[in-house]
Amino acid sequence: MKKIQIVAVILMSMLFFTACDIHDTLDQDVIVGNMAPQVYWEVASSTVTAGSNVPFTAQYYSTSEAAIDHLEVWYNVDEQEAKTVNCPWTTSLVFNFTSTTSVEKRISQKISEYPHIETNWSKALSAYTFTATFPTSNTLASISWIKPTTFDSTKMVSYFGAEFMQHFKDSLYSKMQAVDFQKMYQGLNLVTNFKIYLDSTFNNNTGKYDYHFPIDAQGNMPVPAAIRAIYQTIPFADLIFNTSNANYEVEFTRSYSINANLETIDTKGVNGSAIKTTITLN
Amino acid sequence: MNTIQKIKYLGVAFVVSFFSFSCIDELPLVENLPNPDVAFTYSVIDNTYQIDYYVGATVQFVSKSAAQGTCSWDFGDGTTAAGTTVTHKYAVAGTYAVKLTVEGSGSLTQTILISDIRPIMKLNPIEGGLCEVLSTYVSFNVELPNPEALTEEYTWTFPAGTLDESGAAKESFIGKDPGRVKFSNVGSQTVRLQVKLGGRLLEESMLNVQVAYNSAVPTLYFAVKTGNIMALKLVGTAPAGMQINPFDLGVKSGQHPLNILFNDTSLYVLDCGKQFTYVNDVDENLGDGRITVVSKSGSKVETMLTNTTQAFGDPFYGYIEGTKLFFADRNTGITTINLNERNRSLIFTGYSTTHYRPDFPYYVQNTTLGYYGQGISFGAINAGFGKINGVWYWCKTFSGNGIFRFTDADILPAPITGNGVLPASGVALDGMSPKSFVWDTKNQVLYFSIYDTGYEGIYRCTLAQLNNIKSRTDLAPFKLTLANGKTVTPITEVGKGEGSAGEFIGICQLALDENDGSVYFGLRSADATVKSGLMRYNPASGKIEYVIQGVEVYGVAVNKAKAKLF
Repeated sequence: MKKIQIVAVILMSMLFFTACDIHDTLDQDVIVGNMAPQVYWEVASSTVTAGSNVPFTAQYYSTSEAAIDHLEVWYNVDEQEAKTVNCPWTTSLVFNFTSTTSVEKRISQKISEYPHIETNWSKALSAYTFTATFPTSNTLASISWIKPTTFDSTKMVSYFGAEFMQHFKDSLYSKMQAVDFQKMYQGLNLVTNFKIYLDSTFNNNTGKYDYHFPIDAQGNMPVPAAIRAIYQTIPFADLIFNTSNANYEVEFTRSYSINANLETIDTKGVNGSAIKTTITLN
Repeated sequence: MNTIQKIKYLGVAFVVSFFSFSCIDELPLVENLPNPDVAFTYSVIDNTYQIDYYVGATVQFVSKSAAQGTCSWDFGDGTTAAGTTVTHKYAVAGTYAVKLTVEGSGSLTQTILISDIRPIMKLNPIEGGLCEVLSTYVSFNVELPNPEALTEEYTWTFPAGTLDESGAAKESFIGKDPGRVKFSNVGSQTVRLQVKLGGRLLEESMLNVQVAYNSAVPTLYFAVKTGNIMALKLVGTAPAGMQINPFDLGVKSGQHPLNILFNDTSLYVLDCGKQFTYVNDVDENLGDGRITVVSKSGSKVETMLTNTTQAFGDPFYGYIEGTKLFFADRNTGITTINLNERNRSLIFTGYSTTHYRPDFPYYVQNTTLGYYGQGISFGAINAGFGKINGVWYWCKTFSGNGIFRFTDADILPAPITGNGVLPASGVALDGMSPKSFVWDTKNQVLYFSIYDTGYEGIYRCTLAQLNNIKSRTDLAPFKLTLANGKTVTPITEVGKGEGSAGEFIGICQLALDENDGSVYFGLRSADATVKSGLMRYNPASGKIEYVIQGVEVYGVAVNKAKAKLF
């Protein structure tokens, strides 16, 4: 009997004392608070034009004593950016810059409100149902600048930042080899006879000569001063110009998506949420 | 109960409660650390443009913190304020980090995007609803939020071929209302509007006017890399002076839409997600592929199926028969889904080696064909597939190369480990790397693409001829060329294009226009003398020709139903 009493006390103690932040026995095992209204919705399209209204159909009901008061659409705004810059002149390496980001730009907030109307009751569905729309902002229209045929340095700075072009140019220079300089300089008609800057070594594996910059006393192949000086004069735009397609190898896209939610609020202020829907704006 | 017993009980209770309480988390007390009890919302409280967050709008910030204390705000633009509810106007567009600090409790930082004022361009309603090339006049409406009544300067730029009411070319217009115009080219005609507000140049706005052809013709759809799904009227030879430009449907192509399929009034886009080559997906959560259903005009986009489990389970290639869409994953099998399904998820359960999928079991797997262990190896890489005369043709490009043919009756009820009965249909292009094919029923010819080094290209032959191709050298008579004699060579060099050995993008889909027998495809060219682009084989000339140069294309599909627009 004593053992039973001890065990009972231990169990009772555990039940009441384990209600800490992580293991809240009451919260885990029983329903507390008020019953929230149930709501389901379907958005007509997962892609819409920025500035247009998004149609949706909603179904909702409440099992609580409190009547439904109204419904609200909430959404936040995420921004997606994709950037690519490529130098088409290099043959010894693939040199490009690629970046994709997706970040929340605006927190979720109420966008529109809809009154609860008793006559919306559907006997067949055993729920209230209605169709409506919610607005989007035309300021969230996507922007794209894809392989333009004319270079716009203002856009380049706006989309990639003020430091990007110089950083790209410096990084490219540090990676380029003689064959890359040769292709670029000849392609841009900067040098008529590039071979005067080159030396060659017979490659036993390929049975051909490999062309490179002259080897110095330390065994390195530094870029000749004349080649270096010419490089400094090349505009950034020329570094990314694709002569085959007559366009610039830069791509920038910025687009927005919203994560929308329909909430049903009863007269006690208790709200029930539908499943969040992501909608892409274009 | 005696005193000693009571002490025992109390002791036990004390020890239990001591250990139980020890799991409470210590919350940070440092004021500038994030605190879950600090919260705030913001909204524009001006009467108009409440969802636009324009520069100069009055934004109200409200602390919703459970924590008690004085609220101080840092708006991220160098200005601050104090109070539970404050307002602020941003002078410059951009993204700002707004920080609320509750004294003695902590802080919360959230971003706010402030947009520059942007003119809202709209097309006035068109009589009949359709803007037809060379005949329909359209007009525009512009709304410019200008709360400070600043000077407005409008500069319009029209696409080539725009005509005013007198029939004169209209390239640009300065002023708010450019009047009525019509277009002499088909496709999305982009009208641009540059506005200066108070002398400050705003971000350019644009409006695509969808200009229809003047008679009903089929439509080609194609998915552009890092771009949108496009549509092109298949006019054949365009009238003199008229350009047939593509329509931008305004729907993103996705990551890697290797196949798109048109059926009835919808386009089914199979996007295999960001990762489409090998990855060691040990946690089986790198899947990000999906099938979306796009209405033929692009006005409605619905999700049919998403995969967030195994990366290899993403939908790569597809085929529609009746009311079912068949889709192949990367290297295991083919699954079906009803065309009317929406918002479904691909769920894997059990061990990855069994690929058990309760809702979408495989229709056929590598291991449920007699070829397994006798041609098809474990994880044989999938490519295009479809049915010809009741026989499945399943392209494989790695760990079993060729077109593996079988009938429904050849599909085994359970996986095998080898030694199965080989399907009588046999393997075509055995040992080669066929990426895609399309069957021309009317002309009884098969078009296929392969990317075996030295043999890359598009081929055209009958089924009898296909059966007689035993080695790559047998391919030569069937290879298609451009008018200049050159062939098409997709990129198969690592680092130059997308993909890796056995699963380069190649020519990932061929689409037939049944009306004239043309076959369309996207080429990512490895040959510097043949540009990448949207191409077609023209049966009338017997040559491959460009449709659009320079564009990088994944999947292609044809809506054979004729219409002026879509």
